[in-house]
Amino acid sequence: MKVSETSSFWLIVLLYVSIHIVLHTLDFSSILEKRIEISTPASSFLRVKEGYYLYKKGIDPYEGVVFFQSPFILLLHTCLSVVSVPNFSRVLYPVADIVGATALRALLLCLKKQKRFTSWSVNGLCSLYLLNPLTIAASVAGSSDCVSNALTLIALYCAVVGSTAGLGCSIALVTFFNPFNCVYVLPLFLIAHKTTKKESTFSWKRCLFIDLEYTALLLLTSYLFLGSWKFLISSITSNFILQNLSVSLGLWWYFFIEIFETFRSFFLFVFAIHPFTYTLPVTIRLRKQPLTAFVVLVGVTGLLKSYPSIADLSLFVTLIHILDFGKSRLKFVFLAGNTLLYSLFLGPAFFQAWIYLGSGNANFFYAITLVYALAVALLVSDILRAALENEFYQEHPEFVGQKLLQVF
Amino acid sequence: MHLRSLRSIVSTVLLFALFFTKCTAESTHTNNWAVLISTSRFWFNYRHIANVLGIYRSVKRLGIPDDQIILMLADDIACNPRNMFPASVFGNADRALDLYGDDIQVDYRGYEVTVESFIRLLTGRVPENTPVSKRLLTNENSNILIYMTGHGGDEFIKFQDAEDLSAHDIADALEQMHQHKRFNEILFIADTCQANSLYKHIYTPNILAVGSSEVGTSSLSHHADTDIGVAVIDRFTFYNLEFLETRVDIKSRLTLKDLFDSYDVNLIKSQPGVRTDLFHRDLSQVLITDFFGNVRDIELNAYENVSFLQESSPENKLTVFSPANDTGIVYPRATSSNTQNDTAELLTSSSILGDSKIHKFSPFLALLTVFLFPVLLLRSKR
Repeated sequence: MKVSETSSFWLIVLLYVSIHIVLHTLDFSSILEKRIEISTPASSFLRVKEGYYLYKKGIDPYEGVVFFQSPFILLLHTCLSVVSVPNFSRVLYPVADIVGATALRALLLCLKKQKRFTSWSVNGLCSLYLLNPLTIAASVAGSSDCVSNALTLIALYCAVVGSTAGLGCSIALVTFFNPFNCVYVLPLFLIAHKTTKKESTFSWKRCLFIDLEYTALLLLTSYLFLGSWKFLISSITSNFILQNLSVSLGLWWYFFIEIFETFRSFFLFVFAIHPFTYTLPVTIRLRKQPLTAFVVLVGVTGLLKSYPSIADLSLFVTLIHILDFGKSRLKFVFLAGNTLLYSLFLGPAFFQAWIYLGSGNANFFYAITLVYALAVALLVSDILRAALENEFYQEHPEFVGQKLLQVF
Repeated sequence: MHLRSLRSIVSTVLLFALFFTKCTAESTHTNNWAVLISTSRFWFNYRHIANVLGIYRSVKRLGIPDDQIILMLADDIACNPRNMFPASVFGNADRALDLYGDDIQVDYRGYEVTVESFIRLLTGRVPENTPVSKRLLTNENSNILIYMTGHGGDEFIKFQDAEDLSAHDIADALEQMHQHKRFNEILFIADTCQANSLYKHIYTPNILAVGSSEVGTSSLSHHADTDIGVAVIDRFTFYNLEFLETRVDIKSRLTLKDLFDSYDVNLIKSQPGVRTDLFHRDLSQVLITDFFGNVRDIELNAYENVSFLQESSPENKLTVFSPANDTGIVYPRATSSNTQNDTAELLTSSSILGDSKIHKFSPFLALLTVFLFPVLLLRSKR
């Protein structure tokens, strides 16, 4: 019996849901939501619960420093908490994952139609995204990054399809969710433009206008929903000011623990600006392959944002497969992949040794964090190199087959 | 005279009486401190260190944190070359509990325990470079437990075999504390020979003093450990600790009267004394955790349905209904409308948190708006 592609996709979704149910029954959520690799101060479910509790009591959730996520997630949480089933709002996260996977599948089918996606099967990549232990762990733990990933995939789908209104709205949602998501917004315009070059139904001016309109609507709705403008300052600046120096998978916390007060603002500025400095150069250089630019920038965001988590990694790992050139051009996948595995296994071990056993110290864990960053950076730079190589071969087809040597 | 007005007068008087008794019976402290001092040194005074460490452990167990305990010991027992169990101090021959452990914080040790440092600590006139852990940072809402043990005599206590602290100095130091508003109430306990003489000269209000033996009699040790070779605990402290450890926990409502009633002269083998004339609360209303623990009553009801009395006694937990009715019967009632609701409901938005009012723009409306916009846009495109 030949199973159709659609039904095998829904089988994958069913498998995902059943894994979720099993893990929730085994009470994995309470273990995972305390793991620092998965839930960060910018994405933790416990903080959303705290924000919701404050909101219920009539106190502005953004008045304190515990909750500084986007009001969008608070809104969703509030609406879902009306159901009297305890912890019902946790259902948001697997739903977000499934929505993201659907968007991913839709965009892959679209790419396949345009013959831009040939390496993997569509359902294969969807299962890589859904059944990835990183994704499952993130959604079981209730990390808001799942919602962020879903919104990113929806934005990418809108870009690939070339829908102006859709792209405008989804970009607004994506940037409203986390200010660091602004890093990878620019290539989306190019993707949409490139897709609809023939039909020219994509107008970037209109898209930008809709984006601004929708952002204004979101801001206004949040103001009416919350009662004050505190959320704006809190949710945007908390990511950059780094008042919360919790341990995470990123590069910021260790540095800012030891920085002296006089230098703190300077280095905060440098670290905050850093991911945004990649947007324009990468987009300009890779303007002929904007999808690759998008993937590179997603990787850069996940690497350099203030509170990264493994959900960023799961998105990046999925998106690597939809580069404009084939994955076979990448040279360092095996090395980077193994380094990632190494760091993802050794990181929690060293964290345990540091915090619980007291036999290690912060340097052990931070070293592994650096190894993780090395792996991601390796992948990103490999993609860049392969993209440039691909471009070169396209412009100079006479050199195909000959070995290229980078001189400088 | 109308019966109505008579009833209202009676009820008003009863109201005020109720207010008055409530005001004096309930404790008004907001934090607890302990000053635990053993004034003797050398190996044969093992039991004095064990006394203080036993009280220290009890006080910590009942909630006073190390930051609020000033522990003054000679601290020469645990690492004494004669100690068969190095780094351990036991208060009982069964050696079931190591009082020293690995997480005690001794603030004044060795020769830092002097009369001068003790009086400076109490009065707050410490040298400028004294670290915060060695200061008694109390205020007028602090209840302090002062526990002293060592060798003493008639109106003195011996410090480190070199000097004496007299009962007059103790009294003056406590008076200075009162002048500088450094305490709300003090429970002063002394377990020395002729300890009751130490509190004889105190003249400051709000101090309750307990001594282990009368003038002319000695306080005896309880038992010795044959392996350690010396007596490990004193009788008075032993029976106090027994009461605290077996009958008191952090939620306990036992009072000091229960503690003092438990003193059995035949067991303690000395005559403990309690000085209550300076203490204005009835001992049967004073909880043990008012001094030995760090517990407070927390009021969780919002300040609505407040009668005219509430303003004058904010810590009054009973709200008395103002007698506007004809029956003239005064019935205390809790702020009942709130107890019917969620009792853990915190203050409403109009109270302490100021003006962070939340618009209850329904979240569903907000969500609808957020999702409606792109849908409408996309439909209009088609």
